[in-house]
Amino acid sequence: MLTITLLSLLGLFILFLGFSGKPGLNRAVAVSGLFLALIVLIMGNQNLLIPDGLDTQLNFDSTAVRFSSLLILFTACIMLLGKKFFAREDIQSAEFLSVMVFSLVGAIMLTSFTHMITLFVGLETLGISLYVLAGTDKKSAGSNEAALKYLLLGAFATCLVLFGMAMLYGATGQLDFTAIASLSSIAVDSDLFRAGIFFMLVGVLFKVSAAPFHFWSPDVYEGSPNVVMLYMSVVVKIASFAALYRIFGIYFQPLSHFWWDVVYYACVASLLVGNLLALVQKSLKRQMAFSSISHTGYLLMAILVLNKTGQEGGIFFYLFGYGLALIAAFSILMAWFPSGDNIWLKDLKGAAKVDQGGAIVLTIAFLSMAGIPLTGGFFAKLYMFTPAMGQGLYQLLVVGILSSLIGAAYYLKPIMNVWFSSEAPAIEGAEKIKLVGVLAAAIILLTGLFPDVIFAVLSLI
Amino acid sequence: MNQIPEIFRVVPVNNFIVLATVLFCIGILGVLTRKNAIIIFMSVELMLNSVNLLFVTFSSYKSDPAGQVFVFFIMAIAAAEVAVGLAIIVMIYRRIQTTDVSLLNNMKG
Repeated sequence: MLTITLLSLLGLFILFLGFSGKPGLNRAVAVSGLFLALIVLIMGNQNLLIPDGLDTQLNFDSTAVRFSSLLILFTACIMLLGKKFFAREDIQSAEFLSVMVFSLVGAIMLTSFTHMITLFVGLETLGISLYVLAGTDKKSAGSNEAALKYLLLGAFATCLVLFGMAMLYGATGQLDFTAIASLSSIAVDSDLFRAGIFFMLVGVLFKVSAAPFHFWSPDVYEGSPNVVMLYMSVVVKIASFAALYRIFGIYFQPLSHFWWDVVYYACVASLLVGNLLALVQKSLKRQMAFSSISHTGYLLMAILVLNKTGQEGGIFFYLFGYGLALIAAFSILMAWFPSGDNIWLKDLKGAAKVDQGGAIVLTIAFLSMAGIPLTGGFFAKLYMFTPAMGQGLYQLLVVGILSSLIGAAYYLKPIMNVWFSSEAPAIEGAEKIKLVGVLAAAIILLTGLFPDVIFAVLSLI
Repeated sequence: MNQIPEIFRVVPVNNFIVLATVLFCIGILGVLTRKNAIIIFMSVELMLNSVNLLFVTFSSYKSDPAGQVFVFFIMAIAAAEVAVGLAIIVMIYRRIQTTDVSLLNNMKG
């Protein structure tokens, strides 16, 4: 709770700091504030500080603390990478950073809610801030379009979640997830309850951009500025997946026969749609958007096989590895293409000749996303596949393995372009290598060799 | 919780559920078929209001004020959403002089 208070105050403070007109100062304050919040989150017992009346609404258990610390850490990395973007004259860096911090508050609420009201407030705090962030690049047509599409479809998805909540409330008379979960599955078996679970699930699948509810995400990802796209595909994905895990993996786990089939088909559809459509894209950002849909598919596999002991470590490992790989890749891409518009696959040709270090980091990142051994991505996928095998979901497993083969094909395309092209390099700038990117790539390799390190760190939190 | 009027319950609860569901479906149809960004936005608001109606209904029938508290949250956040949404629509209008979403197709992969 203290973390949420601290971050909200930080957001306000940065807003006032905007008067100084120094983007570098705003960014430094924001990043150091985030690290302070991270320390407070890990060190303090968050549940002690929740005021009366809110104590039935938020619960900072170990799941919440783990996911929140991941969110704060990655947001800080993204702010560090966005140096050039914040320094642009037409970007109001103070407003941008404070809206980003406010959206992080929403994301943290999504990891720790126990009540429908906090889930809804968290979803909207995250969502409304993101509509603003997507449209920050006011002069770019793509950014405008992304903001409008995200707004209309995001609001639509929220309505679906709310309609589901209203039905669950009608069926059980409870707004508290723990209270609903404690009801036996025979007691809640009514059409109203089934409809409620269904609408809520569809709304949340919209938010995590699982197929067949994914159609907004390629356009939104492609149109948004690069920093915002990175933020959406890392932080928002982790937050919305943490919410999905919390609702269906923890609270509604005993009621799994109400929702299992829908998640199963969404999982298969996401794997196929994401990977097959990513193959034919010409824009790297659009390819990343489709690959993000396919990663949602892999993560849904973990939700399907959750048992009482939980599959939380695997989900955490996957999100950690995926976030790191994206941050490593974008640290290089944003240095190569500082103008911040669309990134085309053909523009990457011959880049290794100019910036070899950057090309190595980029290659490690893409190999990890594809799940090649010796990178963290390999173990991430392994932790998704082995429980599915243990549960005997062989058809799902075949789809998963086939689609990760397709995945390897399209992740190799940018790597081939970077290294093995005789054309003259088209990249705009190759500045000195980013520390964040190198660190991220090193951790990817480390987790690829010693995956137990992550679990050892997890057991400390 | 006797403050919630009993007279409300003279009408069967199913009537309210059907009314709210019909409103919600009109909203969905509006979002899926209309081209004007403002009309789509109005449809989303209609969906939100049908949810509010549903919450108030269940709240009264169950004599539980929590549902009505939720409605206040929904109304407050819907207002925030409208503020941001209309700003974005104005931004689009300044650029292309229309709010027709079918004209927004800059991105084709």
